[in-house]
Amino acid sequence: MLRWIKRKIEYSKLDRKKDFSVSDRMVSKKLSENITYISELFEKNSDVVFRRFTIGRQQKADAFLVGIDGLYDKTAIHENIIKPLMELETGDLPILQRLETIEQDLLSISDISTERTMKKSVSQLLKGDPLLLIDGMEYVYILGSRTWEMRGIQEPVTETVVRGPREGFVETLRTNTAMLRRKIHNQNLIIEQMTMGTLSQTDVAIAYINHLVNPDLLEEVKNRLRKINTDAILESGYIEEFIEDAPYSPFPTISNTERPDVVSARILEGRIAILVDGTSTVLIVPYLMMESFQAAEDYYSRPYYTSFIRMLRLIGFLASTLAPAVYVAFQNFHKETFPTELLISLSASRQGVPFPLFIEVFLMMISFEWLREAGIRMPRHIGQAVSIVGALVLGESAVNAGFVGAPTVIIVAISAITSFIITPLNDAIALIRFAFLFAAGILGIYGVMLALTFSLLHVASLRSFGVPYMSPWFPIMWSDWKDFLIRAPFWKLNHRPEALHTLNDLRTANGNKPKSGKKQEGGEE
Amino acid sequence: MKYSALLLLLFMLVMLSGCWGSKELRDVGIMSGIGVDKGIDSGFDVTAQTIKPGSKSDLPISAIVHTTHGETVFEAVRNMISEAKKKEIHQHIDSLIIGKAVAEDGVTSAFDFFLRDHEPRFNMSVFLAEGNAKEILEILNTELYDIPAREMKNSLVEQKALSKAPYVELHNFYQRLIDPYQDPYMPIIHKIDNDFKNEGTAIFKGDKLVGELNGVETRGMLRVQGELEGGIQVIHVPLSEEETVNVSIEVKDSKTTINNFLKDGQPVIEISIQETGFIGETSKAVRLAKDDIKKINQLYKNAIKKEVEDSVDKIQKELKANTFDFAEIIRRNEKDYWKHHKENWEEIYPSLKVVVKVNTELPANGLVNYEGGR
Repeated sequence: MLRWIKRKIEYSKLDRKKDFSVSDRMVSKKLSENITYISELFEKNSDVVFRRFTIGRQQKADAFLVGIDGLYDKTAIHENIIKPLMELETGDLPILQRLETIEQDLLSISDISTERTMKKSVSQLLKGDPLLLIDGMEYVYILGSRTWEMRGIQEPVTETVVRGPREGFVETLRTNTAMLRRKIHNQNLIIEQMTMGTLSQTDVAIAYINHLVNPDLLEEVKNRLRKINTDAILESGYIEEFIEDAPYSPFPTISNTERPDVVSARILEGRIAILVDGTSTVLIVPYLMMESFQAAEDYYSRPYYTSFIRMLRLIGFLASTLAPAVYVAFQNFHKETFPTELLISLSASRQGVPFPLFIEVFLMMISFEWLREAGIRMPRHIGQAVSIVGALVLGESAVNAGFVGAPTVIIVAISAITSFIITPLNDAIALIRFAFLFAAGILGIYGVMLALTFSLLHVASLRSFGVPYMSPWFPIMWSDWKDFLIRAPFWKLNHRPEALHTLNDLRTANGNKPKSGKKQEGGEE
Repeated sequence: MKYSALLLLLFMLVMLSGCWGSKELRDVGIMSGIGVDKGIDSGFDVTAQTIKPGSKSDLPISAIVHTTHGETVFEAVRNMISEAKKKEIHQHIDSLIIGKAVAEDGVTSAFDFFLRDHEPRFNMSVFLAEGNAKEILEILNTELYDIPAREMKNSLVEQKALSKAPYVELHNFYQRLIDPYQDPYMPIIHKIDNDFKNEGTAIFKGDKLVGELNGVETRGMLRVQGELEGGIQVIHVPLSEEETVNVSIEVKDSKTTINNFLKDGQPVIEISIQETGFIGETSKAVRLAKDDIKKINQLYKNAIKKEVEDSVDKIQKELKANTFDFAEIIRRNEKDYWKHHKENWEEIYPSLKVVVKVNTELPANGLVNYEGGR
């Protein structure tokens, strides 16, 4: 006990307020001072490259180049910086005077800037740009030549389409913003950048359309992002948890995607995207529940089938959350609700089954969650093993051996399959269907209705960045119903979503409905 | 504070509900048919047909029959647990069969349980067994039916195209029973060898059985009720002195309106039947000219008229049962008369004058017309 208290006291004495940032000093005129400073900073680091060299053939000046191995383009630095500097012909000019203009006429690299403070220079160095320091100069050249090994642009595995673009975001912020810019060639697409994480110094960008996005929303997003005070942002999920509206709710209030086309479409609706360096997942705010019933492809295929499938998704969502609960409630409490034939076959499947129905369904649902988790976590090579165990052992054999009834397997399978339709709400569904199952097991359909009422109340009370989560359903915004349960043709989607209160809500002019053309005259007989 | 109040509310919602009836499906028996007979000395013998689901889908479904005795129906039903070793659920009872002896004593004592308890549904069919209910429910002809009690109800639905037995559900029967100016009726179920057959109607006066109608009389009664949905009317058409041809007419559409008017201060009931039939068969190859069809139509009309009059006579004069809604029609149309005479309706009713008017149509004579050699 005493030892524990001692340890506590020791722990409290620790200097937890240690600032990890570089001290704020100016670049010295003396090169040697700067070199000592930087060398001390990176004393133990093996991946920092130091290069001392001499400028000029006739008059000489000492120079120092520091970069991080693997983060900059070595050939470009060698060819365009070191070589011309070494071979510099100063003529009669004093070398320092000559060097003042090298930025304009010698250093042939497209992105170059100067910096006077050590702090900012070092932070640029850490992001990949090498620094060039020259004796007698009060500033540092930041040589923008970042490059590193990265994954090529591929189709996102999680959001595939049959029709539509197949590119997905990658882990480099610059590439991602470029993908957005390539879709919206307009100066009003603003990509603002900020740095987050006291240790990780991660670049985070927000993208939106100026003069269109609701300024209050923009201000709110910026405010929430500014408030984040943490040491590292490694993935956009970190940010999501810091800025979401309802941290205790199972329902997400921020959406994410890996598709540039989705992000473009969303920000063109008046939403704001948050891109984080180091991850291919981009956050979009605000997020409404109805978006989980939409898919990118809805907008690329013709509206009829899309509308049909959207309604099926909604039914699927209900089936996924309610099917096991209603099954248990009906069979245990309300046997009169089944048609007699169905009850007879259900009864037949329940003969000689060892567990009570509730336990049976619960176990099957848990096994499904295990299977799903195994499917995600396991190495690809043993994928087959999981499907064999899952389908054969759990499905067939369990029924054949009489451990579970076949209808239970069907119900749990329906619930599982339909939960994959609504991927954004997948996590929420997986959790709340257990809650529903418990309610049904204890109280029957009364319990299900109780749970349903509370869930609805909860969901209806949610907001995402000020926008009601259930809109356009609750509160009703009729004009948004054009792109809700049905997807109206584009010539009918004249306005941006009302729920977002954009500054400019006209999207498509009226009268864009195509007309069938006249019969073609002439042609070869 | 706010949250604790909310939690309390939630707790109360959960705890104050009376829904603790969880019962595993494998622990209950599904009762499909139930019969009530008079006990040998006193009380009732209740016979139940319970579905016995096979443990695997490839085993045939079948039924088990248990009989118990109790002073009341409910007691006998509960005694079933010791026979069936399971509590039975009554939501899926399809057929309720009343033994003739019980019906003669009055069905109220046998029916009250099925109306009062929350489990049995009101849409079960009710039958009068020609003998004992027990012997009907003991027909376990598995070659024909999986669950005979279900088949009893289904066959009654199918028989609407035949109209030789009325389709009566428990709530129909009960509604007529509690109305002081209406009397209930129900189909009769017979045991024939190892099978059952629905035909005829049991007519009740109050809750007591007073008489039975055969199949044809039933059809006449259904015509008056306006519940005729089908049937074959065979009429004999004389071609010459010796020769007659039998024509089968398929009843397609039958509408009945009942009216009344006062004649010399006495109410007269007028039953108007508008019926459409198709000629479905002739027993000889005759060419049906327009005149012939007219003749057939007339005979068809007469046949209906006779059938209806016979049924009405039997029910009204012989059995004195308020099977038809005559009282209601008089009450509605002749308020003054009804006010003064409703007390002695039972005396007026048997001598009430009933006029039957029939109008028929024969729009189609089938695909055959025996013309030009075909």
